[in-house]
Amino acid sequence: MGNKEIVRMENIKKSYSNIEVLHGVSLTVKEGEVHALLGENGAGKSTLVKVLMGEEKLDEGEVFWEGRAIKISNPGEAQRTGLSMIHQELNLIPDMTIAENMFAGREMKKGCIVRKQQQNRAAGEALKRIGLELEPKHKVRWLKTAQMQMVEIAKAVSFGARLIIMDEPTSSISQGESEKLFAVIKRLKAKGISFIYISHRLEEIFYIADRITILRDGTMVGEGDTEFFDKDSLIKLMVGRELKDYYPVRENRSEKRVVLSAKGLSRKREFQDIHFELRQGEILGFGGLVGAGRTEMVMALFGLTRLDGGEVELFGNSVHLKTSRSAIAHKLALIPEDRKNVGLNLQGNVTDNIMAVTEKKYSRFGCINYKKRKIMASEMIDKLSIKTGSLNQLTGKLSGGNQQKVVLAKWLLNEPDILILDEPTRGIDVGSKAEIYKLINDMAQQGKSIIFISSEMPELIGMCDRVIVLCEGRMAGTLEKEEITQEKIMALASGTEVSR
Amino acid sequence: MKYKVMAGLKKTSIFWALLLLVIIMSILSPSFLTGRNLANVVKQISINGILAVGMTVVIITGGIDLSVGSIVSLSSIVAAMFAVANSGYPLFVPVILALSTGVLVGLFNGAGVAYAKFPPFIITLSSMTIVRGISLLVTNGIPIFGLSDGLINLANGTSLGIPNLIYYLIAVFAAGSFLLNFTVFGRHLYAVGGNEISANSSGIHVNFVKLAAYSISGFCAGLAGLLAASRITSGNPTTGEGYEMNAIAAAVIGGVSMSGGKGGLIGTIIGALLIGVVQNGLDILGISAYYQKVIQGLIIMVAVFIDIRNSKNS
Repeated sequence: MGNKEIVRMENIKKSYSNIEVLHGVSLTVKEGEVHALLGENGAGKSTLVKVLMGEEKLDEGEVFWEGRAIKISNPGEAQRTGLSMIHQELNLIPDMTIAENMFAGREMKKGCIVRKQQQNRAAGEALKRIGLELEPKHKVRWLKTAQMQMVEIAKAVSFGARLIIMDEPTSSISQGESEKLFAVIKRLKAKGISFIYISHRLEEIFYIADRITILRDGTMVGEGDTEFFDKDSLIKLMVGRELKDYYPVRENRSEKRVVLSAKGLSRKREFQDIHFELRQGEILGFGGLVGAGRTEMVMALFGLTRLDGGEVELFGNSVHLKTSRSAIAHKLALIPEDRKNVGLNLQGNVTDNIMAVTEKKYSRFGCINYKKRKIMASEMIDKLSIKTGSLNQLTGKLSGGNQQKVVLAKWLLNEPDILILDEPTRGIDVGSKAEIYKLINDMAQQGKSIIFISSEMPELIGMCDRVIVLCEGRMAGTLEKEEITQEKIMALASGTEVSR
Repeated sequence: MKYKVMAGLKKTSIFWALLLLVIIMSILSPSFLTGRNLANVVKQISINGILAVGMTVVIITGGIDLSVGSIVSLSSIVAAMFAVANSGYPLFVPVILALSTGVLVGLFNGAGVAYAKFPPFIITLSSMTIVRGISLLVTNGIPIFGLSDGLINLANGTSLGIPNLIYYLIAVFAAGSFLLNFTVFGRHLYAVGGNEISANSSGIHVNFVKLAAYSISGFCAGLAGLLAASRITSGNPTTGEGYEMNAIAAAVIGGVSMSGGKGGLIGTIIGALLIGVVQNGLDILGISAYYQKVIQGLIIMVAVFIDIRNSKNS
């Protein structure tokens, strides 16, 4: 392994709609090294690699390729330069063969006729070179996720990639498959190919990475050879920011009365054997990594998908919530993770959205009462201080924070007993965040019970009475108020520690 | 202020286009702007207008109904079968049966979309062909003539000096407008078309809304078929061919978004009128029907293009 650098990003700055998410980040990758990029969700890792791949434009800063300043403005250019990215969602076309996928867009041809045999042979050789025995004529659809990953790597290598970016490659494959992947990575490393490796699993970082860069809140907080770090120091660097004071104080803590009790909730391939009790006026947090099964669990709880097993009791009565309608009738509310695609009708105006759940309640004989609608909607707009031009403003035109408040308004109008909030502050600026925290706090104070899913640990610490951490669809542990720390959540979430 | 005026103009651009066209036509031909001719225009568009109302309801949910033209033919035949002068059934029998035929096919389409999860284009394309086939089968390809005066009078009569057809159109338009703008169901139609997933998680019965939307379109087509039978005084298995395209055109010209969740009936009716005025005007001017087709296609293109531009700018 030489010390020659292959890529250097310097002082990269990037903003999305006036919110800076990268505040001058630098990253250097040397030839033939595996460089781990670590950080919490939202720390700016994916934005940084997107900038490198030309999927996002950088606002400031410079990128050097083998010492020469370059500008990459689209993924095609990145590929020609020698960069390749393997996304978490793989980019293969299922009904084409392995060979066709590997040569998609640069087919071997004679005139306008694809030379399939030649292509198959070349694909087979490329696969063999990274130690893979796969039949190039097989359709990609029938491959396992891990095999698809390998095909993508082989494709990247055959493109002449010299730096391969891998985004959480082991998040959806088994232990044994991960080991095979590491073997391939080591093999390619020996040939001078470099990797940027993004993962939340610290063990494998120590196993595979030569050097590490750690991001937090869009700034680089640590960089160095792997041997200079241990697990604790990494976790500290990743999460060790101070709690900001915008978490409101709640006076009366939760009461004893159990509002919702769940036993053995399971759904195939999503989550297994989840059990918890939610008390009146309690904010119960759910922590974990993205994809730990939290969203899937609450969707099933809310009747949007079916549970394979488990029991749910509301106020001591066993219930079967098979549709969102029955969940709503039982006074549940779900503020979903994906505000734009699940929470709102962006083509509808503010009033339509606020009234969507309660339209029937405020109607007579199936006819809506415009006057009443207007009153109810403006009341909610005032109550949540939603900043909107008018009642007829399209929700698609509102800012993220205000959109989220519209979703909240829609559900609060139905006066729910139990509110499920799935990443309620994702992608929202700091000011609106504080307002939403206050709203949630007020609701708890009024005796509503709240399930609060968040991947931002300070939020869980600041808001929750208790936190349940999920890891790969299972309960990794429960933390009571006093014991909630970022380190503990992180350790449970990444599966490095199993408590109790 | 100036901006607001501009925005208002843009929003109603299709209305101004219609007005402009009427002015141009009345300058070009003195016989255009006569009460009689205008009544004629509305009469001509009434069947398409009724279909377009149902079509709009379906398109608002994000779907499409290609079967309406075929429904027109089948329900015209059903009406004719039970209204031949010597059959002896009272008038309400063919009326009810023709309407039911439309609703039945609509229910079939709706069930296919909502519960069997067919893409709307596919299921209504299938039923378009199936229903047309049934029309040909039951008549053996031969039109049914000899309808009772009662049925013939439905569409061809006049009340207070105004053709009956115009009343039907106004009634359907008024009922549709009420449904879309003043009922919970109307709000749900927009919610489903705007974002089905969000609608479902808000507790809206998405499948029922879709089923109902296609049934409404079927009902409109059934009514159109009944009126068509009356108008041409026969039940004809080839009638209504291509009507679905005119209905879609009217909705699209009127600003109804094919992706769902946007648009309304005022636009659709103006769209239908625009098509009618162009046809009538070109007829008066003696321009060949071939040109009419080209011009109608161009109008759709221009109308939608303006729509795309406007929604991009705002």
